[in-house]
Amino acid sequence: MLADDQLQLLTASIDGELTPAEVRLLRRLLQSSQEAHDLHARLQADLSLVRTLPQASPPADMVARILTRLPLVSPQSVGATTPPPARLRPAAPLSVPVSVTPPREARRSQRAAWAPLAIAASLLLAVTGGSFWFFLQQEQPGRAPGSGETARTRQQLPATPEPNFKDILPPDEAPLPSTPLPGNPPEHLAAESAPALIPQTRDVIPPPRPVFTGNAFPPLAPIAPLAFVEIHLPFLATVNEFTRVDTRLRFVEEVGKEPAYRVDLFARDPGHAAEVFQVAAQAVGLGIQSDPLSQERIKRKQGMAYVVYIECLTPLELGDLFTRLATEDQKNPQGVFGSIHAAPAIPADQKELKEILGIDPGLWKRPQPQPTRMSESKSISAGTADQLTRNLTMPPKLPTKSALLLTFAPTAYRSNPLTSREVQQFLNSRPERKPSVVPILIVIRQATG
Amino acid sequence: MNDDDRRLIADCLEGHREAFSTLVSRYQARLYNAALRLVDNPEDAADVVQDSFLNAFQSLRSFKGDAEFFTWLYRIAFNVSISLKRKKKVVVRLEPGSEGGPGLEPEDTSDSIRPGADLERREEETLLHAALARLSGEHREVLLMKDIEGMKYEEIAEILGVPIGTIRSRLHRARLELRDLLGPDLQV
Repeated sequence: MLADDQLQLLTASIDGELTPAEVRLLRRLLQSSQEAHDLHARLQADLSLVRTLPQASPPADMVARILTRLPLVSPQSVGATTPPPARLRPAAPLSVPVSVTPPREARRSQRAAWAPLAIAASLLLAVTGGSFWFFLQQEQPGRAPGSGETARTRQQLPATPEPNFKDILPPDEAPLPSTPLPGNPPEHLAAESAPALIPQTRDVIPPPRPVFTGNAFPPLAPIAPLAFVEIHLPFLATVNEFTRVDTRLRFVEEVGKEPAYRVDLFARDPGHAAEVFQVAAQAVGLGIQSDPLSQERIKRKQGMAYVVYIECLTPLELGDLFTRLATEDQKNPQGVFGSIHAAPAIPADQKELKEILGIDPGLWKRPQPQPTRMSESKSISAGTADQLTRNLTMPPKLPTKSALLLTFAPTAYRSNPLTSREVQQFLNSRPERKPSVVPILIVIRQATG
Repeated sequence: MNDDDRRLIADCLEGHREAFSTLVSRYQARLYNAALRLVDNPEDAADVVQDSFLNAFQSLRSFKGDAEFFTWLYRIAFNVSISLKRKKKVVVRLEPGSEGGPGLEPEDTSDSIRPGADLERREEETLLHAALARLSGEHREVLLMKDIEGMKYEEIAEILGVPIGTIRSRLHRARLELRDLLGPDLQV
């Protein structure tokens, strides 16, 4: 019988929120208690089940409905008057300005919200119209602007004739401003009076802009010579296309370009696809190791993603594997696999792989081929006869190529690689990587299209 | 908060409503599913999503960006759901037939769920739905926030307004209760 604190440790590990000390405690508990181990596995399976609940699609017009109602919310009110909802408690009533009532009530409240706006708009219109009319009346001909006299008072005043100013004022004898003064030639003005009258503004006026006076357009800035950029597109095909030679060759050529790759393999049913993958792998001599939790999920056809890590195949062998996969896929009437997408591995892939395996397998680590030193080569007879005899008398050794298949999910939803016997077995039996092999991370995932 | 959301929110605050449209498109499905599990009714879930986004738009300036935008949105949706549930309680009493109906298992029109899918899986789903429905409200809330929405203890504590320790123990009880409800039918 597990103690309460042990149970709490187990559930907290499912939550994925253990401290490093608690992780150590959990590891010890799982190793020492079969009951704890079983319950942990069951809780993990429950979690996986909850996570595989089908996702419902929102109504197709959801975005349109929201955006239609958006203009009703005044832009000025964006965050201006509404209290922040960050600390809203479930027990507290909702303090939001937007209606949460059913549609009919919402429409009623919308109408109520429009009423003050309509009144304000009509008042504004009335004031604007009145002002316009007032100023229009002020600017009638023969009326001094700004006198404050209204049209009504003007109508009440007796009509007085306009005075003749020519009769009242004395004749203007002064010369027009443009007329030169007698006896003062313009040169004299320019020479003596102008320096005193015209302010010296030379210091504050900016220098004139240079003007291009040529007949053509202004000269353009020198343009750098065009450079060719090589774009490396990822490999994209369907699994069925691997039955064609050109697709296979294209894949082999692509995978040979970079030291490590990630392949996303889209399938209608990832669980079934993982099964088919295992069959294809065995057919090309690749053994697949997997943890019991992933095997159980595959058996139950749970719609989770799975990951296969291979680091013992050359590009040609990988081509064979996918060709075989295409052949196996064709045995299913409706087909299991969709498209395949291969791209060079990036640091994020390495990080994911590290989390899955518990160690960093060194995706980009590729040993240099040993140079053949002819001078120090042994003679043919040295040990060759013994080796030949051994090979002829002993049964042939089976290929030891193996790959690892696990659930591709966050830490809380898959086996702990440090406690998984299968993962540790795979890691311990890894042979030294040959220069010609390409480590590859294959993710079998749900096709959504 | 990711940079893309941050930029969209900044654009939105500058008056670009199309930025908010992008946010709506990005989070509507996730929020709809979360709301659906809170209110157990597709129509109500749609209303919750709609009102939550409008409320978020109005209060966008108050969003400080110290949490994920979706978490903040979820908080609003959670409160809208609670408010809606309170209002609906009266209706439920008047129409007892509408409670516990097919709304528990929403119709899924997405392509990923094919008609005629594996019977065993459907059976598991039905059992799980029934078990989740039998969980107490407190337990179901925290379990869905943790397992479906992937929230951390801190985020759940902030939404529910309770200490982190309470969330941890509540989740602990919820997991054991769910395990009991699922029983030996659904075991590894």
